Amino acid sequence: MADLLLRLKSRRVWRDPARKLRTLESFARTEEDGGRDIAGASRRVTDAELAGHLQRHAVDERRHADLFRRRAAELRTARNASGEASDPAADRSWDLSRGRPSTEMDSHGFYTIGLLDELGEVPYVAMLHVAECRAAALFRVHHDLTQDDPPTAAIFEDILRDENYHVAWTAAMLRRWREEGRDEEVSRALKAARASRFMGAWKRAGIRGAANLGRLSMLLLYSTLLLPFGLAAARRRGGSTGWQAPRPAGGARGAPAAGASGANSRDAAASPGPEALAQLRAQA
Amino acid sequence: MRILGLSGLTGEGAAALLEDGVPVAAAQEERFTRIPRDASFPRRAIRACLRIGRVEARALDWVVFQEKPLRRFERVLASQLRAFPRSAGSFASATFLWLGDRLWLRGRIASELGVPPERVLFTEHHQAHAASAFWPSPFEDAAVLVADGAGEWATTSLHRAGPGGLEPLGEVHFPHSLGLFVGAMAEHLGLPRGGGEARLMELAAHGRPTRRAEIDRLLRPAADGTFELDLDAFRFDFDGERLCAAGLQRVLGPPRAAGAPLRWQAPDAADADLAASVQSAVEERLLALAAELHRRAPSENLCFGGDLAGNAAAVGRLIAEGPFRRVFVPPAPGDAGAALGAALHAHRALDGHGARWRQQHAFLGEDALSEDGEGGQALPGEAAILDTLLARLQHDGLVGWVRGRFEWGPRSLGHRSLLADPSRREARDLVSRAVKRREEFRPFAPALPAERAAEFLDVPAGAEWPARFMQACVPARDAARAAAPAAVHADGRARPQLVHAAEDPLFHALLQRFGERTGAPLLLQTSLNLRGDPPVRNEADALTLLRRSALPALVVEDRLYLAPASSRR
Repeated sequence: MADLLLRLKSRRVWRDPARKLRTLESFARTEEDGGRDIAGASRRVTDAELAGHLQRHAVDERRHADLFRRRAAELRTARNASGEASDPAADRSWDLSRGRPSTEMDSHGFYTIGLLDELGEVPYVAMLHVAECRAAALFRVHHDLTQDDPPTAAIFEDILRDENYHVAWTAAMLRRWREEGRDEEVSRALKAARASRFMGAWKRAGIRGAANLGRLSMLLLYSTLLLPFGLAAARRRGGSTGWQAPRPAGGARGAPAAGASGANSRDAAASPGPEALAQLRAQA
Repeated sequence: MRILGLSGLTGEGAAALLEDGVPVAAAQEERFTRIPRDASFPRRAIRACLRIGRVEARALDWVVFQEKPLRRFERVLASQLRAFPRSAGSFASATFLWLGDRLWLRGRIASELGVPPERVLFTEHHQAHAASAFWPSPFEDAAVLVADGAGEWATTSLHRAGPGGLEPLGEVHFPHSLGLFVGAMAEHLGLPRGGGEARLMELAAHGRPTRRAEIDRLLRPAADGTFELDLDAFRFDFDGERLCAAGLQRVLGPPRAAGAPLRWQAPDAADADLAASVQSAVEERLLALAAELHRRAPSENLCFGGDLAGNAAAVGRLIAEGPFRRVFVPPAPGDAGAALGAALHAHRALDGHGARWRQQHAFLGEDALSEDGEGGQALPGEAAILDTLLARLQHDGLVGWVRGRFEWGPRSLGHRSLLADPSRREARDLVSRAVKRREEFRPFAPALPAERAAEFLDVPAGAEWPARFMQACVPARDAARAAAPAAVHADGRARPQLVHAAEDPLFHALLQRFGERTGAPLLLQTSLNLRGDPPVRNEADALTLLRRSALPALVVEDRLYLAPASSRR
């Protein structure tokens, strides 16, 4: 069911030139972020085999970022040449990075960037493994849906080969640790990584649902309870013009200024102490 | 007393840590997230400031946010209702956002930092801007002008400042806003969101103000020095996504379509002419505001804050034609700077009249060296660093230079810089092609020793401070045009950085050595970043840039990194 929904949503995105462009650019950013994290991790780990895999993984992620960025640039150039107007709605953020800024989500849908120092080696690799499995599945979908655009489909095909390697090396590392007697630790880390993904998806769904419900309530409020106020206020859309007197903190908004007089009692800096603190504490 | 000032959510996110009135650290969130003008809660900037100050959050005496959230909400609500019924869609989004998140800012800040809610304070937005413009200035008394998009209600404000503090004199209220007007005009010209205002100023240098009559219909001057916007042309009073309304097209014609070529050169410089008309109208409004301010607060000194203070051409004109003899513009005049302003204001309000900190430099960010450093070739001592930089400039024409703490504010001032030899005719193209990928109409700026400025530039006495932080355009002399054609704008002006030996001896020495070698101590100096990115934060960022760009060489502190041979020109 989830895959079906993903396919439906992705199909819409890949068919819309503006959203397609934004999605490729956002994929480039997230792959680059991932590459940077993994490169940092590769310098911190002590295990030589793990460091080697992480270094190659980081190089792959950066290469993916370049591939996405180059393709996005080609599409943007073609789009600009054709003079297509940009649609502000599409330019917002509803691309396949779920409309979330990269500051909150990492490249593979985890809420925070998986810092090796915070997680430790086993949980970090477990997190990578779960994320790469999901990324491989996602890119397979995107590959299928971009068949009408052979250069983009070729990029996904190319990246999929790397993703399969990433899944394989992370699985091999986890297997090695299991064989070294750290079975319980590996299982716990995998469970935590999957739970993190699930919780992330659950929270996002909750946030989006609540946001839509909230907006709907506000719209109802606007068109019923606030209607008379809106009609009355609409007559003075321009607000006040000319000089306004600065409003004393906590008081009513300024009436027109008296003119040249600069006298005003709001100078908190001139009166340190409880009064100044009360003014700074006020949110209004 | 330790005070942390914060900005974000409604403008650029930043944090500034003050210890007994002296800033020990200040940084914008964009440097960490790599999202230009990132307006998210400045979590990473806070962490960096606390790390630099070696302070734990619970040891902070106060945390000050640069805006009164309830008063801003009042303005949002009133503006939405005044735009009834066109604001139906935006009302739902805006009120939901405020009711669900921003109104609870005290709790959010307290929980993010782990401090008790009663330690969280709020200044007015323009109070914070005014504080950031006056307290760091070298002046004992000054008149203070703040002009930006919008704070709570104020979009423009006048203040009188002296040892006793800041006294607000008058405000222009939302929606009549010079900052939002410039933003809307940038949108009409198809310039990118965020940074479009600066590009408009740069585009203006290529045009003539042939459309002033139409612009004056949109931005009507008033006899008292204020101005009034034609609100049929704009919708920013209720819609943050689209600033221009259909009425603007009736006055100016259709906006530039995305992807359409920008008309900035003869024979068709229509877009540059429109930009020049906007710029000239804004400059005249600012001059009128300055005249009114001088009438209310007679002083020889002007401190200028808010986003409009980042308009170097307007600052140059205020210095040349305004009623004040001296001008100070802080290195971060925009919303990020309000974080420092909020902290400074709270310090003065709560700690009386203690020692006053005067801004000598803008290097308040993190150190350049990171754990991710990859080695590079060691350069033993300052002489070796200078020799290497000069050699790279001679060999490649450009070099990246990263050292010390990064700059506070939008401009790189020698610590996260790309330097180029401006005497080469192709310097502009070289820098643009290798790293910046900047639009052709955008200029670059020169750096030169302060004591040699008069040979190359016509720097009025009042521009001394803005020129330290690249905040004012001044006329270039023939010597500058001959020695650094790549760093002089199309209108014959330049936005210089005057480097003082006492404040940055290494950069000063580099300029001098370059001058000894070439006859002119000018270097093209611009921020080290790829197009669309903020300036690099540290060594790791710089190395990423080296890999991703065609920059041939990079000096980070005492290490030289060369680009792989395959990617060199």
